[in-house]
Amino acid sequence: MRAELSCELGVERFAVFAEMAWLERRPELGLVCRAARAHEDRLTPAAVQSVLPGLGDAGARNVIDWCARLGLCDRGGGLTKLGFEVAETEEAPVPEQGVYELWCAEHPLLGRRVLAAERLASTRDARFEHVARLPLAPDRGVLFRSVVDPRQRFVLRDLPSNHGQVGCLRRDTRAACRLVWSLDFEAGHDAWQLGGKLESHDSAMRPLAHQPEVAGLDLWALADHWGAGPLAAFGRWQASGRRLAVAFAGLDDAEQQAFRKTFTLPQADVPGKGSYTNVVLKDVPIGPASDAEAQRWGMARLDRHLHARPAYRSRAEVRRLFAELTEGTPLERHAPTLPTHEALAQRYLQAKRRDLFWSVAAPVDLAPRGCSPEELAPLRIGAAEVAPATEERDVVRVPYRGDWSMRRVVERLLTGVAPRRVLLCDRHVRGPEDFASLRLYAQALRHFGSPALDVWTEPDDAAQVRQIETITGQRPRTYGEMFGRAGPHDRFFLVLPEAGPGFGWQMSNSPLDARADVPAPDIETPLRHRGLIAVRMAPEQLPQRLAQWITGGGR
Amino acid sequence: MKGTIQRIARERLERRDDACLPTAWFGDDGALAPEPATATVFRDHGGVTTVDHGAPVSILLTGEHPGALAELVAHAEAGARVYVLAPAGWGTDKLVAWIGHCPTVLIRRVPEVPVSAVLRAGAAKIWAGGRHGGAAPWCLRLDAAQADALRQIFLRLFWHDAVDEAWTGDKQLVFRPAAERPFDVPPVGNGACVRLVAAETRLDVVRGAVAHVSADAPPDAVPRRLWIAPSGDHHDRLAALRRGGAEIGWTALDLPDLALVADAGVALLPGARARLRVDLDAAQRADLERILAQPPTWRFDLDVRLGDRTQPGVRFRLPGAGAAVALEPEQKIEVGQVQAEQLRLVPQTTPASWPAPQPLALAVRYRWTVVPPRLPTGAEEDPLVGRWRKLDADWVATLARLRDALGDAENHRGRLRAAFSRLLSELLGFQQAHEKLRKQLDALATETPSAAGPKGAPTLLDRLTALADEVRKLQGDLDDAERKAREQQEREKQEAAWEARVKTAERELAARRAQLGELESRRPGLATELAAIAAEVARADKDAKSSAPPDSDRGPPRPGKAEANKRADKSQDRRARPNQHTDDSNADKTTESEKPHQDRRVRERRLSDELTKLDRDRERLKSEVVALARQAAEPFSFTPPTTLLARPAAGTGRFVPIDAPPRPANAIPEEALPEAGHLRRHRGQRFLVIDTWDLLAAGEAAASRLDARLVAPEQA
Repeated sequence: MRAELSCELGVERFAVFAEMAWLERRPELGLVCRAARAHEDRLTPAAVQSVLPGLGDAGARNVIDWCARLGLCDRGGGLTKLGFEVAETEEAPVPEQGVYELWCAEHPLLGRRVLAAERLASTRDARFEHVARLPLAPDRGVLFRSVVDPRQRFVLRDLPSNHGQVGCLRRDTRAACRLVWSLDFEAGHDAWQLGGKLESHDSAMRPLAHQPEVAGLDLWALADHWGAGPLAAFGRWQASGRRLAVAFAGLDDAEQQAFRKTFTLPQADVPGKGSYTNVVLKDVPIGPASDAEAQRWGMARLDRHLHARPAYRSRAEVRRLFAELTEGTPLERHAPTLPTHEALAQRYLQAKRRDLFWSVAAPVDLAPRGCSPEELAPLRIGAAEVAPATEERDVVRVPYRGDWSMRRVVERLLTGVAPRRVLLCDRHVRGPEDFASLRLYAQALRHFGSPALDVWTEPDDAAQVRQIETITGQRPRTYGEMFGRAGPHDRFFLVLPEAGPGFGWQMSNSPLDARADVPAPDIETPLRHRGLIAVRMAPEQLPQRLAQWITGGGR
Repeated sequence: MKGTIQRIARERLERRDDACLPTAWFGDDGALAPEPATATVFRDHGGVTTVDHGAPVSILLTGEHPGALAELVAHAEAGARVYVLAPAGWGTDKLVAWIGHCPTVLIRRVPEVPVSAVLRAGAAKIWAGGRHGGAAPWCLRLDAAQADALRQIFLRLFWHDAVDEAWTGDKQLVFRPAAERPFDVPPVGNGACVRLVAAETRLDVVRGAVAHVSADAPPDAVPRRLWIAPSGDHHDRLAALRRGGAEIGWTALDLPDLALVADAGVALLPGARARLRVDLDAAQRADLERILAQPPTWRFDLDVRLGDRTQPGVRFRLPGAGAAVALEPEQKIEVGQVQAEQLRLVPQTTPASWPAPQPLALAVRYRWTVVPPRLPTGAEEDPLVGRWRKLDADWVATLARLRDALGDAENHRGRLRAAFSRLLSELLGFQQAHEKLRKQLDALATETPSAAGPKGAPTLLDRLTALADEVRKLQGDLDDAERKAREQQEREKQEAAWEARVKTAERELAARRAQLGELESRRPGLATELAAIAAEVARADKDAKSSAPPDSDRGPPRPGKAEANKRADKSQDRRARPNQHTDDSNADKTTESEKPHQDRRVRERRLSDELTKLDRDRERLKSEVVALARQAAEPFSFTPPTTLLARPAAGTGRFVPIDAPPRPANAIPEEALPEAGHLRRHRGQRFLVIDTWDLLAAGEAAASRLDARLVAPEQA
């Protein structure tokens, strides 16, 4: 979530008699200030004498008094902000008096700031009646940096005058100055900057080269302030979730996908920092306003995903996909539900979305082993799926949110045999979460005595290969290397026992698609699964290349 | 034989009822036996009895079985989800018209569908055979195990092998690339009762089985009864099976390959990429055995006698034959051309060997054409003919010249008769000789040396030589007679001219003499007168000279008589050239006193001229008198003319007798020309060419004599 506030600033130009201090290189003062930092940020005679050996106490106090006069420390010797800066930059203000031409602007965010200052030679050509009241009294004692020449820094120490009435010669100006304030809520960062142009008294217009400055605002407090104010017209601001609950209607596809929306606030004020118009609030986190809205939203995301990537989806894949599209999103807390298979198919058929209809209907109708009633039943996100009462001999079903540990998954897949070597054939093993699961997987296998885990996958880069090799101790083989262009669609897990014939499992999902949700999981940690169905297969039922692995090829 | 020598067409007929075929298929497609009623295997005519409402239906379509299409349409219209597996390229507008409005049909196409089948919740069946326009296809009901295995095959093909897919419910079927499968379907194991096997797989037939082989080769084992499609292939193997006791037959039932024994049975369906193998259960085996027990329309047997299979409609398939063929009642075999060795053998010539007739010919009729021996191409005339022709040509030319000579002699005789009447008696004799020679010439013209042959030709030539001599003699006699007559005629002519010339000279001589005397008489007076006048002139000139200036101014001296003559000549010249006589003109301009002198001078000149002319005439007459006198006294003498013979008329060449034809020793060929035909030669071989059969005997004799081969013309 980001916002950009902006406004135009008026610039006053006038010539005035003033006491200024220009920052110049003064290494000795930098030395003194650094000595003060070493003495608890306080300039004491001892601190001064530490860098100026031989100086007496009186001399040290004179130095301190002078530093206080320059504003480097207060009367008590405590380093001021300017003093710290002198310690860093070794540039210290050098006071002077004279006639100066000043360009000044005023705003709650930047105060009464001298944007630029130039020394003027005194002349007698000005007429007395041209002297006018000072239009804007700049802040005194504040270190300013010129917005046209950032190398110039100065301090307006005083405006000497008779009877406190400061007079000046006002000058016409063609200067233009615009304030732009960027707020990044997620990053907790803001920065404002002046832009525009400024003339010199003896040269043409110059662009502003202002360095961005930070206001240090509490942005989420501002968001809450706006949520109760101008954002209320668009939805309900949920301060706890830092999200705007909006109606599903009216959201375009990108907004549905990203859960973010851009709003334009006609008027927005920042407490103590001014009021702004036409504030553009970008990427505002949004979420459903209700469970029904969340259900519609989730189904829309599923429809869009199925349409964007034409393919036939098994029921297990549809369930996994729905979970992937809703879990970890603002929809999850509303627990959207994937309808039953028949309802989903009829929904697409009635909408005449035949591509989606066939993509979900055909895989169920033409599944080699059919689908269990549990698979075809609705899937409620966040609700643990009930495991079937009776377990099939050649089928392993890891229920959705079944909290199966990795040890349990591996134990079921090994079916009690002592493995000599195993192979995980999974096209996608990528990302830190997959690698964490792979690490658990390898640990579980080692727990059951399998020293060797082969992995056949399709890595994106060499780093993935190295990472997998680090975890398994074996260099993974690529799909292209093992299958050419005819790689299998499903994941397979092959077991070569110490004794007896080898066998394999054809899996609807990867066993690595399980999340621990704890920092340091182990093989007993309950995992968050999205569902997995594994069907045991004899070697002759496996794809040829996998069957060859069992007989010794490709290991 | 008569007529022109040509090629002769001949033929021969041979019956073959007893011919036997070592191996053969024979049968009649129209002799179909009624098929028995069965339960698990039956002809399906496309009707659908029940529809499963709500349950998905899987259908495999090979594209040609109406029963499967009917199942598709019925279930689609009932609203069931229908999954269709179709071959590549399947999908027509007709199909869209059937099921286009049904929204629940998903079609995926694969390179090949092994069988047409329907898989429903309660039943499964497959179709086999059946062709457009033929009998209905066979339908096989599957038991539960077979249905499960077939479903697994369907799923494997549907999810793994699909190339593209389409679904109904839209306006038209739009096939798009097949989407990714949802899972992997395990392949059907080798132990399944329905499975796909390699396309090269053959039916495994054991001894004593009942086998139905539709397209493969015969089995190795000897079955009890073998149904195999008749063809020209594998006859050796089939013969071995037949000898082993197998009953071999065929009826086009459109069944797949089958092998049935008591406790097992296999059906093997055709396929280009894979074949579907079905292990049959007991009921299916029993039904199929009943079907295969019916009498076949085709049988394969050994030693098939043609005469026993003459029923109408029966056809045969022989080893290597591509199609079934019926018996041929009579086969006509064109043997082609047969070359006869001799002309006389042409009617009896037959082919050296007889082509074998086709095995299914009940009779065979051979036809061939006998070609007589013919003159080879490029043959040339024999030199003997040329020599005889040259001799005959010389003979004819000589005869012609003799005839011309006789003609010229006759003309010559005619001219003599017209010119010299005194030669009449001699010319009569010439005429008689002429007639005699003409008759001899005509007699010789009827013969030729070539016709006379080597023996008669010399006599003819001698006769011709003698005739030429006589003609030459006749011509000489005529010339002599003419020469003599002309000489006599010239003499007479010259005598007449001499007499006339003498008489004329005598007459002229007298006249000349008279003229000469007259001139002689005139001359003296004239000469005197001239002398007188000349003297006067001379005096006058003298007088004039004396009265004239000195000599230098006087003129030339006065001439004498000769001078006077010269002056007379000059006066004549002046008359001739008037413009040039300046002196004379000056003289003419003399004074009147000089005129008489000038007259004398003119007279002098005139007299001088007359005298000169007279002298000249007198000399001429004297010479003429001498000549005439000599002519009158000239004697007669005969001068023979240089050419006594008259010139012949233009264009009629004078006959120049020539010699008789030369007769060198080898001029007359030693061999006579053939009595019949034309003698030719080719590459050193003589050929006697005759073109009609009636010259055959003469030709044979001549060919024998001339050591020539008797042949027909080249174009025969």
